[in-house]
Amino acid sequence: MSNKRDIQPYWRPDFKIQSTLPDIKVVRTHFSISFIAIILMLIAAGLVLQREYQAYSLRSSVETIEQGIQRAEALDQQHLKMSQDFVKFARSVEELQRFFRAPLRAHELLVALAQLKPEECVFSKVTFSESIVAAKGRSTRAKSKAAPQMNYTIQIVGDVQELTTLTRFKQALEQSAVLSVENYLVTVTETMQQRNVETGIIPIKLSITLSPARSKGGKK
Amino acid sequence: MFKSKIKGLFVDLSEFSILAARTSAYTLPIEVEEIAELPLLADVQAEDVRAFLAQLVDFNGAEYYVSRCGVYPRERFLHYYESSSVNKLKDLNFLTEVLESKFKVDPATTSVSILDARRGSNFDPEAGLTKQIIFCGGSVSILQEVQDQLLSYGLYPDRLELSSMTTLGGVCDYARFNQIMAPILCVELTSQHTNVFIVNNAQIALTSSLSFGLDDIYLLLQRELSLKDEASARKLFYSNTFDFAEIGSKLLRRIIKELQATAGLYEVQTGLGIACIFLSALPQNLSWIAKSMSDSLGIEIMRPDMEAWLQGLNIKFADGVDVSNLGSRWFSVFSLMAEFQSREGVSE
Repeated sequence: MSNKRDIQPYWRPDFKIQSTLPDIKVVRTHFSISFIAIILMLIAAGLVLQREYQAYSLRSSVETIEQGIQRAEALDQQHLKMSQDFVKFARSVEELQRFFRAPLRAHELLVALAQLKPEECVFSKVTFSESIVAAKGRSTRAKSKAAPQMNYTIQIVGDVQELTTLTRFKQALEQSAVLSVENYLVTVTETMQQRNVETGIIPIKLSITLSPARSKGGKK
Repeated sequence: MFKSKIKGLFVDLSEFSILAARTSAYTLPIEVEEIAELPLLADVQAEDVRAFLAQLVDFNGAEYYVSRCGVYPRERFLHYYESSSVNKLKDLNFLTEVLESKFKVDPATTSVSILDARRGSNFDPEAGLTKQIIFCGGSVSILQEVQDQLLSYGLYPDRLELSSMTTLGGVCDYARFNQIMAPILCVELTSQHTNVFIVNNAQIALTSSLSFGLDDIYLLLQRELSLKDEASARKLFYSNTFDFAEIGSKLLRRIIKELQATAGLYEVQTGLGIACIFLSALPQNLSWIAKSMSDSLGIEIMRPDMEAWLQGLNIKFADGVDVSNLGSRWFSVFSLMAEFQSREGVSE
């Protein structure tokens, strides 16, 4: 209603006591304060609702992901089992590959050993095993670059009546063409125990080792 | 441009009556749309006043109507002071001392306004370009009473002015507008006091207060007519049934003597003769007082041409409002509307 004037009207000083006059403002101060408070409350409520909605969305996402994980877990178990089976079969395949990669055929070897064996000699156990040996070389770099090499060992456990039988068998083995494998050296070693007094037989053990040849050369 | 639809309400509250005017707006230019007067008899209640105002303006269901009011609080004061030098008035302590020692006003309990007596602007001690100042104001507690009284009538005082001061401003402006260079003797007769002012060359030149008022006249009237009590005298005084033409000068003898003394002294000091007398506030039925004084003092009564005067202040009257016969008491209401600084020749 009254505009603030910089200049008081001439001859007309105002003696109104403002402090004791009632508040008749159309937009009352307390109303403004309440209005501001309501606005702030609404903003706060809005923020809370937004957060709650975000939390709700996250929970939903987590549940969806958990369900996905559960579904994937079953599939994963299945895959894991398949993987384990694969590993198992792979090992067998690898073993078979090794078996077929070996320079000697087991069944041919057994036939050859049976033909070479003197009549007085009795086999109680024949084993065929392989082992990896480090590549031969001077430098570590050369060693690491070289392909791994295999050692093959055939062990024959048995017994003989006479030592001459053993010697004869050993010689036969060393001269046998079956054990003559390219790029391999053949070493035959025998060990024997004391003769059994009661039975009169001597327990023996023959080790035939096929080791990779160091350089050009034939078998021993 | 857009015009405010809020009507202006200007009210002058004296001990005799309430004068009210509804205007087109508060900001100039304004048009006075309607005027009304409510005599304040002994049995007038606040509700009656509110009902009277409600006929003039629409409260729109509100408790208060924002208005601009002029009042005559008891113990109001209006003192002219002329300093020997401009510099003295720059000292606030000096001003306080003048108030306390010369005019017996306690600044702690009163609301005081200091005006430049030459043009009525707020006195600025720092600028200090005048030697003549006016102290005006009243007791804070009594101003509070009057403000509360207005509130009880449903009036919210957007401005609360001393009608004595505002009316004198109007007289100064009227003199400037009509180029009345001779002194004007202004008299404000109230129950307990008679305030006397002299306006010269559109400036306040003298203020004086006599401790003789209408209450003293009632006693004289009671004695003169052998009435049984003061109340009867008062009742007769305000009635329109008695002709005071003969007895008037007797009743006013003391006041007239004082006025003669004051005016005579001023005339001697300045060498100027008083041109006319102006009586404010008094109701229509006491118009004989002005005539009696005029006759006794041998000076004319100032009969202002309101319409011409106010037109120059951007205040006009609606067609239905007849101002040709309005008494000089209405000067106060119209002065409440005026912005005297806009008058040509009044420097900022």
